Order: sequence, then structure tokens, then C-alpha cells
Amino acid sequence: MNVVLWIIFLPIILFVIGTFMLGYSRKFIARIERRYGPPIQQVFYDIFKLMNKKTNISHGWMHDIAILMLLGGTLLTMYFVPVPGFHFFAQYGDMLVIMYILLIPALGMALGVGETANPNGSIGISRALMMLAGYDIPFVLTFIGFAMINHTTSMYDLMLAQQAGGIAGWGLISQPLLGIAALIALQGMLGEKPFEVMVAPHEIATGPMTEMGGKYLGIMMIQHAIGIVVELTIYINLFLGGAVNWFEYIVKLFVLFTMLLSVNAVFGRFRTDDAVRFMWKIPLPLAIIGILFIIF
Amino acid sequence: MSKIDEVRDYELFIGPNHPGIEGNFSFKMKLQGDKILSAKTDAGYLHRGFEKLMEERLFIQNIAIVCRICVPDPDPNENNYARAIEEIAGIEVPERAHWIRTLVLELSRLASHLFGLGGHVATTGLYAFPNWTIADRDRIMELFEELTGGRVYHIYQLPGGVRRDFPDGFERRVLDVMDYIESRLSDYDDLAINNSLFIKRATGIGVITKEQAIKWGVTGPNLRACGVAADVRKDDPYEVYDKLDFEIPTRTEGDAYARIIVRRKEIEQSISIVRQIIDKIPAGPVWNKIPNPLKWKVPAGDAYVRTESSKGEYAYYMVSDGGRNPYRVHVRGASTTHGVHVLENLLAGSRIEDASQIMFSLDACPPEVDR
Repeated sequence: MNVVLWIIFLPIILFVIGTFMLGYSRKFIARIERRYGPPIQQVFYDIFKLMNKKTNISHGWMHDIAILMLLGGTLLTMYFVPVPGFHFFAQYGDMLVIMYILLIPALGMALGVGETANPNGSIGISRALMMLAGYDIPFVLTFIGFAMINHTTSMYDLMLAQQAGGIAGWGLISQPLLGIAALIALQGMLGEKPFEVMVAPHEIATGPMTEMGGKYLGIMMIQHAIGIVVELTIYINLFLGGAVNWFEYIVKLFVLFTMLLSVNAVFGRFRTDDAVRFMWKIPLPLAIIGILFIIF
Repeated sequence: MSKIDEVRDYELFIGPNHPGIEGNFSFKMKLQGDKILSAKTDAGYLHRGFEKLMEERLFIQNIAIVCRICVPDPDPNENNYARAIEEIAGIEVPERAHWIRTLVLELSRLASHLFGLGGHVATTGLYAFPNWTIADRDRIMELFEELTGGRVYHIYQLPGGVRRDFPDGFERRVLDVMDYIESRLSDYDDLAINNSLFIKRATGIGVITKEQAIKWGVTGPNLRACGVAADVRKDDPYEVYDKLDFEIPTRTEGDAYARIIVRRKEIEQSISIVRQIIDKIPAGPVWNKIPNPLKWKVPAGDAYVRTESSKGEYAYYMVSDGGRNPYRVHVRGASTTHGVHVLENLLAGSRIEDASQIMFSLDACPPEVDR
């Protein structure tokens, strides 16, 4: 397909997938909680409703720009992450670029929420940035390990290298320590329990979202939907051999997401310091040991 | 206070629409980073002036008011109110009614503990657990609906007995529900009570020492979690508790985890009590008729009665001047102590992550604070 068409339609496709995944997550968790749960398309309805709301309160231009930065950062990351049939930008940006631009949404959120001056929001952002320090280091280390084995930092090349080796070549199979470390870090990256410290409704009344409403909240939900797909795709590309077609891709997305949701449904959340401590106690040493195996 | 402290300290309001508050209640916290320097509770969102309102209503009308003083566990209020009138007026209650009242009190305790356990665990983010316990609590609500016509407020215990006898087959259905709840306890333990993350979060949080508990007037499961085996059902038995065999679970740690363990074990005791009641309940009338309640003048006098509710000790002091309305009804509930004074003391020095958990672990009932 033409690159221009991909650029136009990829955000829409991933938004639709992400929104259905969020709907699926609500249904899946509801069943564990012995509830019926909302219809799977409920997230669509919510976003449609929010985007049609009139905005009466603005927290200033910095707030408005920061919310767009939040969405823009996620969209930018999306273009650099290879999906079946589209890896045009992957040749211009390797994993280092992806790890770098993955920080933009977090910074956008920090700026936007900071402008609202709501203490719950500010606490949520400080927690999110602290968690970033927790999960980012093990995640980057796992990527470094793979780069050392394959002598490339290109996500697309890493994906092809795994596909050449069949299922045994998948990162999770060939380098299980790195795969497990990254899986735990991914749970933190997605903000799922037990690492859900940023939102923590009982503690900080949903944190960054406290002061958000209408279109702002709608944009945050769109970003969240696309962000989930992008982050899961990074893991699939690095550890599950990527995907050669959309069917395989979507199956892998849902299987991986279901695994993470299962943990999310049966655990509470850590305290913030415990969450970071856990990241540095379990996935970080795992990643370091994994790298040592590669070196020696 | 230094300039840095002035910038670093901030206030956080946790109000009635905050997910971390228990009911219509609020507190303001002064924080430094994550640490709570001080906390001030602010009640009044539910103020309906129950005590004053009772002075303006007929004795019989107040039965519909008292249950609203504690929504999750309304029956101890009904029981206290009925027993206070009976004591002043010298009304005899049929034996079967005593047993039925005890059954209702224990079912109410069970429902309240399921609600309280769920609320407590939810503060740590484990939302599957409250969904389970509240759905299971609904089975008890169905029993109440069948027996009394009401799910939440029952308005069932009248001076002289109870409003009506068991419907056909009710005993069997009560036992079925008890079997069901008992079968769920191992699931509760697996999901939450023995969950390593929950234990980590609840251990050492909101610690009350034995000395503090006695000094502050703590009662009920919160007191028993500090190692004091005090329970009105044993210490000053009412209804038929002296004819029943049950234990008083205690812990010594005095923290949030000890409190949830005590409540969890009390569920087992309540199930046992309910089974004993169904087994031993005698036949007979359930109500001794009182005079026309619209014209009834309760003789002058006063009475102090108390029950052990799921929240702690509940006491009523009632004064009658011989008129159609009570002259004064004073409610001594556990929640004003736990939800205001104890909470403020425990919050100071703790962390913002634990504020909600400390509040829910005390299992206070905001409407009672506003009575």
C-alpha cells in the first residue's frame, strides 16, 4: 500500500484496534469480577461522547498544547514501530529513537496536568515519572541485549532475525531472562496493576485524569488506546517474532494483552516506592543476568 | 516554618466524591510530599439530625429513622431502640422473637462485614474482591427482602418482638446462603486475605496499640485487633447470645491487616451462630401486642441499652417523660470514635497511599457521625 495511505490510515486502524482492546479489557475484567461488563464498543461511545462535549474551562494554551503533545508523541512513536505491511519509517529510526520518543507522551502529560494545578494530578504525574525510572531501565537493557546478539538496533531487523529462526528464534524463547524482564517492565509501561500507581483512584482520585474532562479526556482516551497497541507491538516485535500478517498480529496482541490483564485483575497496586523497588529488584537483575549470559 | 516548608507543604481535600472516601464524608490533609503531617475530618454532608428528629416523632415512627443511622448495618439500631422502649415500658418479648432478632443481627453483621472487607481491599486497587463480596452480600439482602420486605432498611424489630414470622421454607434458604458464603471464604482468602501484595500493603498500617485503643474508646473489631477480647455479646449478653456457642477472634498487631483478619474470622463465627439459631429456635408467637402506637404514651423513665454491631459497640440512652414522643434519644455509635478521632490520630504521620486504607480498615459509618 502506498506510504501516504499508510500514514493516513495507520492511526485510524490502530485506534480501532486499541479501542476494541480497551473494551475487551473491561469485559474480561468484569467477568473475573463476576460482573457482566459493558458492551465491547462502550469505549467508542465514551470517546464519541467526550469529543462532542463543549469545552467550557481551559487551563491555558500550555495545557492545550501539552494534550496535543501527548497524542502527537504517541502517533510519532506509532510510525516508527513496524506493523505487518508497513515499516517505512523503521528504516529511519531504530530502537534508540523509539525509546527516546516514547518519553514525549509522558512529558506532554506532565506539562498539561501541571498546568491544571490540581494536586491529585501533580502527584499522579510525579508517580508516573518515578515509575518511568523503574521500568525504562530494565526495558532498555533487554533491548541492548538483543542489539548485542544481532548487531543491529533496528527493530525491523531484529524482528526479521527472529522470524528467520522460527518460534525457537523468538526473543522470549531464545533469551527468556530478557523476555521475562521486558514483560514485567511492559506491565509497568502500560500502567496495569500492580504498577497502577499513576491513576490509583482510592489514593489520588485518578491522578492526571482528575482535572480532565470533555475533549481533553477524549484525547487522553484516544492516546491511551493507540498507546496500548504501540507498546504491545514493541514487545511483540522484540520478543514474539513480530507478525507477518494482520491476523497473526492481532492474535498476538490479544493473547499478550490477556496475559497482562489476568495479572492486573487479581492484584492490587504497589505503593509507589515499592513499585519502583520491585522493578529494580526483579526485572533489572534479570535483564543484567540476561546480558551477562550474552556477553560470556 | 521555613520558606522551603511553606512551599513544600500543601493541603489535599478528600471529599465525598473522592473514590477513596467511605460514604458522604471528607477530610483535609496537610502534606509534605507523600507524608501526611496532619488531618482534619469534616463531617456534616449527611446531617439529618436523627436524634433531634426523634424527639418530634411518635415512638413507633422513629423505627423508620433509627435504621438510617448506619446504612450497612442498620439492625443494631432497631434492636437498641426496641429494647430501650421495652425496658422503659416493661414490655415482655416472646422467646421466638428474641431468637429471630439475634438471627437478623447476625445476618446484618455478615452483610456489613462482606461490605467492609470489600471496601477495605478495594483501597489497594484489588477491585475483583469487592465485586465478589458485594455480590455475595446480595444473597443476604435477598433473605432480608423475603423476611422483612426491605433489602437495606428492614424496619422489622418493633417494641414487643418482630413484625412477622419466617415465611415458609425460610430456614432452609438461610442455611443454603450460609453454606454458599462459607464455600466462598477460601476464594476470599486466595484472592485477597492471603494475597502477598495485599498483606504487604496492609501490614503495619494504621497501627493502634492496646493502650491507645482503650484510651481512645475504640470498640468492636478494631479493639479486638489490638488484642482486647471485648464483645458486648459476651460481656453483657442480650437477646439469646448467652445461649449460643461462639468465639471472639482477636489479633494483637493492631494494624489494618489485623483488623481485616478479625472481620474475616467473625464471618465464620456469624455463620456458626446463624446455624445454631436455625437449629434451636423455638416455636411460638413473635410479637406481644403493644397499645395503639398512634396514641401510645410510654411511661416516664430512662434506659441504657447496647449491642455489638459490626462497627463496634452501639448504645442508646433513651429518656421518656411519659409522652407520645421520646424526650431524648442519645446514640453512642462506634463510628464517631473510629471515623473522626481515631482516624485523625492515625492519619498524622502516615502516607497518602495509605490514607484511604486506614479509613476503610476502621470501617466507620459516616451517617452515624452526622446523627
